[in-house]
Amino acid sequence: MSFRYLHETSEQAEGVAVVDALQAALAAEHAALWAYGLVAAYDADAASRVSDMVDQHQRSRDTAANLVANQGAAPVSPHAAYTSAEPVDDAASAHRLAITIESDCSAAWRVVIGCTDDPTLRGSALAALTESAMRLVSWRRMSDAAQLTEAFPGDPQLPDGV
Amino acid sequence: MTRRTPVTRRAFLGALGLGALGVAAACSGGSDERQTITVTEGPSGTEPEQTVDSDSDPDTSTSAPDDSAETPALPPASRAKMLELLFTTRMHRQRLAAAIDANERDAELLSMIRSDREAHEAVLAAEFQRIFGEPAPAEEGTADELGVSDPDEILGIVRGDATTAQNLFTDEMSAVSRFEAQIFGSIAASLATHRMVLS
Repeated sequence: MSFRYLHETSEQAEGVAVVDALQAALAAEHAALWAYGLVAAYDADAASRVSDMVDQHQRSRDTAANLVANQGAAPVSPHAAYTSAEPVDDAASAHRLAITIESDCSAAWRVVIGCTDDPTLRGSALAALTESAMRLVSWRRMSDAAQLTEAFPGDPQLPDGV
Repeated sequence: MTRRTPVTRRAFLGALGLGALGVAAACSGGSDERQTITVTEGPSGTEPEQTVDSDSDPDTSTSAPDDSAETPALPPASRAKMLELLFTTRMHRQRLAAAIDANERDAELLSMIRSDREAHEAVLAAEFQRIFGEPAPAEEGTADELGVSDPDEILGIVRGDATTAQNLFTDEMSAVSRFEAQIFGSIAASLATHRMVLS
């Protein structure tokens, strides 16, 4: 399972059924949790930071799973393994992977906001989007990226690392 | 010259009955399902609440809700709300310009944030034009000077602006169209990151 697949489905949020958007968000959270194991393995200095982020992703995953179940559907399960666009073999590539997975999570939660009229669900999705956007800034900072913030987190039109 | 065909009372009533049946069929959408629509009084000052029960198949009554069928889509933000969001964004962008002039130490960081706020303003102006069919008013704010020169105080002011704006967009996101909810939510998340980098 590639981390980048989510962007292909996030452009037309208004036409997406809410349960499908939630399943995509859950799938992104599953992928993030798997990927952070890899990130931690290649950047021991970031272990504490990664641990906090994993805690946040676990909460977002549980939230997504509960919301899917509330829609009357069975939450998607995590894949056994995932593939990244580039090999992860040092701290820098691990940081780039973290940026990719947070971009995916941001995009997925942004779609959830755009496919429901339920204010509570919008609020939950916004909380997850905001956390993801802040983690993204954190990784960009660690990667010495020129641009830390972005105007529209989760917007699939923007390339990673911008 | 035309010849009128006499219409008997029985034929007239028969036609009336067929017409009524046709209207009933049209209203039911041609479906065999029976629906019971219950309208109850909502809390004072709110719209009545509408509940739709289907009794054609008990299993379907607990299936995933279809929010496109009975729930009307939420409207876009009102003109007054859009102007409030737009003018607030514009004023903050102007204050950022003043902050950049007054705080050389953090000019790069503040310029990055201003760039985001310019993008927010442009999208809000485009949305205003799309919904109201006219360009957004070009009123300028009154934020030419910050009144402080200490860099940390300046950052504090900009951070306060980001907090104010984040709250505005978050509040407004809950009751607008899906398209605007996505925009406002994304802007609110962006503003949270601004507060983060300004801390």
